[in-house]
Amino acid sequence: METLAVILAMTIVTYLPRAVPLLLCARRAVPDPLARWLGFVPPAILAALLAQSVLCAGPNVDMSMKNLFLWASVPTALVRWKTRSFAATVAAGILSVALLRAALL
Amino acid sequence: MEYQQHPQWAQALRQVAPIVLGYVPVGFAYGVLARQAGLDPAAAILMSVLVFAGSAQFIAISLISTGASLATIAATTFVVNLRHALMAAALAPYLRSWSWARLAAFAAQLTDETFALHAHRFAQNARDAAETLTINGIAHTAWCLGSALGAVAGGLIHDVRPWGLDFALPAMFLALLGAQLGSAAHILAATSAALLTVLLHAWGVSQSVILIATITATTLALGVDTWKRSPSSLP
Repeated sequence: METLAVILAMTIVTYLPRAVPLLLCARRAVPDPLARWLGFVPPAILAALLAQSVLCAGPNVDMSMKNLFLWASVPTALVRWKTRSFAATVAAGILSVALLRAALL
Repeated sequence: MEYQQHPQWAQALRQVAPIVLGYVPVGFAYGVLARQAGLDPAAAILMSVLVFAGSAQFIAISLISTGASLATIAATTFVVNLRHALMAAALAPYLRSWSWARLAAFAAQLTDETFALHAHRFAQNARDAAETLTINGIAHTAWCLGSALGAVAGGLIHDVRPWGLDFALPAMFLALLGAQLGSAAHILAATSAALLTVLLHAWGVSQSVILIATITATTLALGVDTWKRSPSSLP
């Protein structure tokens, strides 16, 4: 019962920040400075998520040579740049990490 | 054959495949941890069905296992997921023609990963509601499937790392970020957000890092962009 209440509370506090701005901004014209500000959100948020998942995956920031994800990012970025293909980039990333781990074991 | 009758499904599957590859193993890990924290399989799966928020679910599990109060768990979940408000606001202008029901359904499945994919699709004029909601549905199903496998069969597989699947989502962020660097101001927004994220982590900030870094970086980019555009900035 307690767990169910926790899950329902989490559902509400997760849904509201997702729904309210969407419903508010989808039906009216967003003022120009805000629209331009929101235009910078995708690159900023994706870069933040990428930095966090590659450099801050553990308890501490890892910018050392031992960071496997950092190494794997190099061929992954190269494939992205050369092919511009979403699927090829993700496949290259997964393969790079798998190969690096196999080589280091 | 099936795909020819439903090209929409094939299109959606092709685009969402990287998210599925990432969600199944991460969902699996969540399922295993949820059981270890004392949730029964039904509760573990229900959380993935209703909440559908990766990092918040992991944090909630650890809070539950330490006996935190409902208020603490709800407040933490809210703060952790507040970044989705920015994502929702950024995508909203593309969805003017959508019905309220579709907007409400879209919001329920807005995660970091579906946001990343749709920010790219919408900017390229791919805004078909059925295809968009199919993509979200497949991603959500993958998350629930992974959670269910982890919750039920957690003892069977301990580690998915040898397969490199834990890099599926970072690789996806990288692939989609590449498409977002259209102007100097966009590159400034991205680099400053990445730098701030690392600095905040290094300074020991663990809550709302993405939110703080994004708001600061977008404001900086808007300021620089406005300054460069204004005629008075000429020397």
